[in-house]
Amino acid sequence: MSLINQTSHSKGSFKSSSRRAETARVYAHPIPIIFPEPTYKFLGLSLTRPLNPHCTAVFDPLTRSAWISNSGDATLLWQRGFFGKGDLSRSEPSWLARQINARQMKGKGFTSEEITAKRRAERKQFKLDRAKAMAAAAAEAETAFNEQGRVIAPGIAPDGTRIIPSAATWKPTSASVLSEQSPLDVAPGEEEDIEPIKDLEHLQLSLQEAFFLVWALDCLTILHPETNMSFTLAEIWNTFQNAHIPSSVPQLNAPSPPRFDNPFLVSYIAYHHYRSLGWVVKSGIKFCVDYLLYKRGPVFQHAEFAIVVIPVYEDPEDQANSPFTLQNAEPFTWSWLSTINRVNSQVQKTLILSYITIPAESRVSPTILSSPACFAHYSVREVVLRRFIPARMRD
Amino acid sequence: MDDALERPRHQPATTTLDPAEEESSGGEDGGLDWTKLPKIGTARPVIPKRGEKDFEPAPGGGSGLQVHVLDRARAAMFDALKADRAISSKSASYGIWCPHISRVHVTVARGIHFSVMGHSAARPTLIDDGSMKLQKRLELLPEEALYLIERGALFCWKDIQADLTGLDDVEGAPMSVQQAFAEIIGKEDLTLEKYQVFAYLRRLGYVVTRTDPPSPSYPVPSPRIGGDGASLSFYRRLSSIFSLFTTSFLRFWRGSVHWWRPLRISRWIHHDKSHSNVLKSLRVIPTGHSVAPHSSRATPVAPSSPYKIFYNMYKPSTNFRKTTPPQPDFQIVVINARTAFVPSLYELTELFNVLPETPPPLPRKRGTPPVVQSSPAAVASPVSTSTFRHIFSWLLPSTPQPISSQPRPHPFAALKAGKKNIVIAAVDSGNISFFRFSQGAFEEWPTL
Amino acid sequence: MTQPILLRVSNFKAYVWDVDDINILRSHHHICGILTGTLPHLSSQNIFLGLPLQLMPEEAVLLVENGIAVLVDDPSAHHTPSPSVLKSWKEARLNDVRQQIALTEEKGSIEASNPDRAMSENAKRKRKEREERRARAKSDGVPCIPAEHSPSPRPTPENPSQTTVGETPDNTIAMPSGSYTVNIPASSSKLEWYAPRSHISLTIAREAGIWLYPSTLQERARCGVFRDLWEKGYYMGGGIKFGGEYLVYPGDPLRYHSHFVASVIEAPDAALRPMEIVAHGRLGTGTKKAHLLCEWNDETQVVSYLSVEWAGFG
Repeated sequence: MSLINQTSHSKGSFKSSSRRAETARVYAHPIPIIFPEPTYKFLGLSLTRPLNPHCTAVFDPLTRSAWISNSGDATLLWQRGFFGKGDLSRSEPSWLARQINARQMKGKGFTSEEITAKRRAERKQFKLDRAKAMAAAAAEAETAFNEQGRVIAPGIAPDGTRIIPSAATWKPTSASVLSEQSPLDVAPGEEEDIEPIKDLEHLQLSLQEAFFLVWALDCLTILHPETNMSFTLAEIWNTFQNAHIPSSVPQLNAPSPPRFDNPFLVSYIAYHHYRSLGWVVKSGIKFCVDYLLYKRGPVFQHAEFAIVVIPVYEDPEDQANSPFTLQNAEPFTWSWLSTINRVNSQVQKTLILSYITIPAESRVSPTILSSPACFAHYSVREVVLRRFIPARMRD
Repeated sequence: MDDALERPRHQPATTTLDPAEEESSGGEDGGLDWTKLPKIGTARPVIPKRGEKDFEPAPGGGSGLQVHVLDRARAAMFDALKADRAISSKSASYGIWCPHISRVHVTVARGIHFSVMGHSAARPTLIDDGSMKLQKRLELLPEEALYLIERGALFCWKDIQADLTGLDDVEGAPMSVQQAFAEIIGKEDLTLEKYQVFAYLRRLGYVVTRTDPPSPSYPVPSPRIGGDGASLSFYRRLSSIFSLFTTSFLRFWRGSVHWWRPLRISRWIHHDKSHSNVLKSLRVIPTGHSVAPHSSRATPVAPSSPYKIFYNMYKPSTNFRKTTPPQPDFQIVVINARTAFVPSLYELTELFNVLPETPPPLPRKRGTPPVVQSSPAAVASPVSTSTFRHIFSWLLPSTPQPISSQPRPHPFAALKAGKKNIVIAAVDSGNISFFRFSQGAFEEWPTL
Repeated sequence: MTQPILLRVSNFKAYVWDVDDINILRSHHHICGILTGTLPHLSSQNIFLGLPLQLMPEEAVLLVENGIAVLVDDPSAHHTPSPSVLKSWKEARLNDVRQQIALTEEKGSIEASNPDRAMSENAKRKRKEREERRARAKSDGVPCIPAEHSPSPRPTPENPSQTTVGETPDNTIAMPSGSYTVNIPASSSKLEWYAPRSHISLTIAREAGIWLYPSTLQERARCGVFRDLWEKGYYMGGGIKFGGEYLVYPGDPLRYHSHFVASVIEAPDAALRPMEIVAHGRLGTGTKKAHLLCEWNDETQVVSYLSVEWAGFG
């Protein structure tokens, strides 16, 4: 079994066309609101109403997120816009599916965990074999030098072949009986006397995703974790701004004093801006940035852009008086920029610096912070950052 | 998909070296093989190669083999460093470094260098009859002179106020390269970092000139037609006025943004009921570089800010005329990465203000290299024409064609290229990293 | 007791101009610096660079503090030569030129007496080189860096007869009108009018106004961490392209890979963001390095280390 990363073969360009068509069908809607085909259309007018799924979530102040336990809602929100993340999965909530598969696979073959374990053991063996070969080659070179004064290139046999194995050419010595069975191919049909598995996973929405669904698209309702009463929009507006204060209960009162540089507001502005332009916006912490932008979604292609949010205070006094320390608001060092640029160019993403201006309290009265009307006073400006290679730009 | 990229991959080590690749990989860990360089005097082409490196020396400072190979590598390097700067007397140029005016006055100019370096300046000169007359002579800027000296093309004297009669051919105190570095750097706003960038680019064949003329006699490119950054063609201006009109009209039609319920889907108009229109109605956050950012300070950019365009850069293939230089291909800011910070929005805005807009790159047709459009008018602003068409799509059976029939640029390529570009060279103790900062315009390329 | 190495300081940067000094710094004191000048015979590329060697400020500070080197104010070390000194310089050069021309004439006359054999050997060699070059370019397909064609450093042997040494009316000796090589010296050490004055300590240099590093906490932290790693025997290189301050090598970077990328944290209570740890973990793993967080305590003058490696989960 080759140790080349298998996942790169299962997605992307190697997808069969039927699988691509299936994916396109499942993820056809970019936002949760659907527009059905009209029955009557006359002069460009129709009476059809958009279909709104009206999902529900529960606010969790400790994790500063909204939880959706209804699997129907969770699936819908994931499939129509890739909102949220399963808390027991890498991205899409798939814990239950994995448990069911594991049950079905038990005793029949290898579960995915066992496949992973076997692969890891093989990789370890490969590394040991390689290290041994390298040490042997180096020792051979040493003796050649000490005895004859010759300097030979280690790792190459006299006939020019490589002695040291590479990941592509190494073969495990023990016979491998494992066939890469796709878990979905297993025929269900065995009677199981075990009770059905309860889905322990929920879909977790970040504050930005939740607010976008509640306020911008009006397709989500958020409930108080203790009373199960639905929040009003004004309550959500306050609660989310207060979320940076560690607390076990939602803080419903308006923040006092209200401030333009509230971390939720600044990060939401960036999120809303890119979502309104049609991008699928996901968290970028894997690649040391704030957001990743996908054209259609994570299942289609890798993210093209990595967004770094840089807050800009119109008035430095506001920054000096601020109780918050917004990330990247301090002067940005070149070493950090160089670092994140390198991380992202290793994964073929273009870095975008999103400068978000924070209105000066001297210019705009903070009373406007009582509603989202304050958004009209911020602004977003993008700067694209790329390496410039003079040796390549000569023609 | 990005799940696959979550785990950082092990990168294979490369043994041969494409010179351009070297720059992009950031000089992965040295390992240069000095032993493969041609000896001084031969004219063989050079393919810089990487040697194989070991993981670590054996205990005790290395095995016999390791020590031997290392000594050999070091010896090759030191030999190369000892190379003389010797030039045939028939090809040598001569000049005099005049510290009080920070210029080298070239007395003998030979070779192709002077087709791209040096300018003519008029200085009061003592002529034969004892009077002072303004005479034009060839002068080099400090960086140009230092580059020619350390390259071994120019022999430079230092202007000393002494009686040199009886010493023909001696025009001052002969300068070593060391003295040139010590005295020429620091004059006329030339720092070591700026010199390092200048020399780096010159070695690759670029022509590098100063953006701000250090003296009136220094030739600069003529100002751009249509003004800096405001070279909007008639059509562009019309379409931007039109889009301004349509957005305000639509806002009136739909009512201004209801801030507690921004989503507006028309009950009646069918075309309005689409995902793209839903999202369009949500674009309520001001964006774009066309309006300067507010600041509570009168001068948001400190006068001591290092972010000023310093060099103009021309590709080696440009038809460069010293006396009437064309518009530069790139413009560069040089900063010290240890002491300066990443430019603030205000510093970038000030830089972008003087730069022209570049049109987005067109997609490559098979077999032909990508063509960059020459006139921005040809690219119809996607937002304004689509608004126009959408408003009247129910009226007009056939949609009006866009103004030009050229292929549209790919959105990702256009987004990555940006509208205005500035190159910033960050120098950290001799390590130079070049970055290109471009003005982004995501609002012009919505995905839906 | 060996003489301390002279570090030439101008514009607050420390340079080394003598190749033997560079050798000693590298081999005995494992200080590498970075070469930053044009190699005259390979002047169209940026990968192999020549003199001067530029030292990082931390490297210079360490060398001076350990008494291995002293700082010299280079601009003031270059005095103005008097006319008599210049005269002797000129005469020495003239002699050298005359010797060169004499040698050329000799070679020319030898070649003149055996024209066929000399020419054919020469021609044979040139042809062989041309063929080698062509074969190499074809098989590699790798872009080559063109070697230097001009200026040719050897005097052309075709004009052996044009050498005249004339005397001008006022009894000065003019330069001969043959072709010879003009030498531009790299280092000033052999010039008669170069007289460096050493500043033996950083304090003295600071008072003289020629050296200011370190002057902030961040700079002191860098010096402290650099010194600590140096005392452990490591070689250091610049790390900005790898997400840190230094690359840390177990041996000479010419032959060994670096093991660590080191970041300097200037104080025990300096903030460290989770994203920084993610970045450091990612960058090191791809190239078999670990990231080293080096924390400087300005009060105790001690460095503490933490290494970061990507572990992966499942």
